[in-house]
Amino acid sequence: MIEILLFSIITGLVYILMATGFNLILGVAKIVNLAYGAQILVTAYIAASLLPIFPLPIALAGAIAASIAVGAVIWMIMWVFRRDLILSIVASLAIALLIEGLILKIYGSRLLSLIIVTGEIWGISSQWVIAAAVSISSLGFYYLITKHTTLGKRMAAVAENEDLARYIGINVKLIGIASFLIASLLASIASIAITPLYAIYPHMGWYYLTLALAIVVIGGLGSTVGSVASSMVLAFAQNLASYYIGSPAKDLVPIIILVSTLMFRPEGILGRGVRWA
Amino acid sequence: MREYSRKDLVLFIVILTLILVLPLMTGSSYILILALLSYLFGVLVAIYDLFYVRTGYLNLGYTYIIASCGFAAAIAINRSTDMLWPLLAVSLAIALSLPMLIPALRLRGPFYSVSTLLFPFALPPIARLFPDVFGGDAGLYVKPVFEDFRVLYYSAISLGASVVALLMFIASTRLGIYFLMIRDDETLAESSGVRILRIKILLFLISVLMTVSVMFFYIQASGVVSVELSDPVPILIYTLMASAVYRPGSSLYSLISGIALWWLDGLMRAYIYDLRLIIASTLLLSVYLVKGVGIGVRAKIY
Repeated sequence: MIEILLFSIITGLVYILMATGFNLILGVAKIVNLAYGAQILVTAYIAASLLPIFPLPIALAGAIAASIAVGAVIWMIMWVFRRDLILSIVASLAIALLIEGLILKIYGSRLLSLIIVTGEIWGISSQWVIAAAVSISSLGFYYLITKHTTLGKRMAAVAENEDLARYIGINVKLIGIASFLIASLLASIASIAITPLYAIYPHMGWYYLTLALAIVVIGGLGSTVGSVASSMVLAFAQNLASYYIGSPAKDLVPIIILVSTLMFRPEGILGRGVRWA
Repeated sequence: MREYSRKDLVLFIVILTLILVLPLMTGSSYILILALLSYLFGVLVAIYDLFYVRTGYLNLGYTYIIASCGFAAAIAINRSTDMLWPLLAVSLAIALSLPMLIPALRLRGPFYSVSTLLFPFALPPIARLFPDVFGGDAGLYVKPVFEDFRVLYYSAISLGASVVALLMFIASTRLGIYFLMIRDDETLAESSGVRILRIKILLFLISVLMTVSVMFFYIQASGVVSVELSDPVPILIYTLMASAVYRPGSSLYSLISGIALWWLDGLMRAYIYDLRLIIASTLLLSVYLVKGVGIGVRAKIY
């Protein structure tokens, strides 16, 4: 049971990282990026390909750089579709499928694994410790950027009122690009933290995307505390369901929690109450 | 029917005639089943286009409803011994699809769309958890109801044509105008006297009813139903693409493009399977890029 609790905390931390990136793009760039899961996929595949050839830091840096480059390309396409939100959703869906198609073409449908470290630290898997450490430090880094830098303040201004931000001289497009790149960085770090715990396969991007979507909808748009709460709730519920009912139940948990949340609190656990129909 | 020109109707009649005479032109059951499945897929696209694109409530989880309706029909046919199976199929379809109504009642615009995207991923674990009911990953074999394939073929064609005609009729009625009002400004529509809640429930019930009737023929033609139907790839891509080819709510064009895309997918599966996703997604992107038209909600989140 202690192992389940510990594993839930670690996966919960990575979920926070994933949801933070997704929320950032949604809040600042006003784009629902359904290709976000595909960026996690790209990082995992590139890291798994580079690791046998290059030393660990270079392989991981290469994978992160590739994910950020993919993020930049996605941004350029999404900027074209941005004037219509539904249109941008469809476009990002197409980009996600395109990336998955390319991965399938290059790597085929076989499973891969990413082993970054082996062994144990104080009886706990080193990979778990690394995942927790990477997630906590990345979230700390993100907090520093958003709360204590000019960029962070400008991002907050754009998220709050884009027109007003433009009026006072903030380059909204540049801030949008920055938010996309930071979100790509978070997605790639989350990928490196979580994929060594599971297998890598071409469709996995959808699984992580659905998790990020569920966390954002359950936690409430723009609510960091809500995202943290829903990530932890989701991680615990998933691991407990997997242990007591069976592994298929794990995939069902996000949808059950989502539907329950929508029934009783559609604005999310800590949302601002703006999504009522 | 005011939304369609005479040319549109002629095109529809030509396509319908082609499908009707196909059994006279070929004896190949493979071609006939493929033609029937593509036609039924076109009808599903037309249903989706009117109820989930024209209203601005872009449902990215329609494959969940498609698969739920398929399973409902299969379970009813396989398990019911009396003539009450259609009633059982409809009740089951509504019960299985009901969770999808919740986001429609609680969310709007992009939040509705992203929430619905989660639903198709619910069916595979449900099927694995209840293999006796849903047949696990392999799915269910469907008991044939029609002894003669031609009876199935023509019944399916008639049903499909009736559904499309009904969709065209709905689009031209007050209900169709309400859909546009909801898409443009839901709050304004409500203040103008449109009963949004009632419309949404009605929309859901009609779409499920139509989908289950189409899926009954679909699973009869294919012989099986599995969770593969809920997979958003590629069905969702083709549905979105087909509905974007012409203006939203144009059932005839959705039907025609749905049929064409199903055939294209068949060809890609046969000859360039590994490039299928790349081509389909590039086409989707191009269609939306070239069209450059919005299908509803403007870029406003808050």
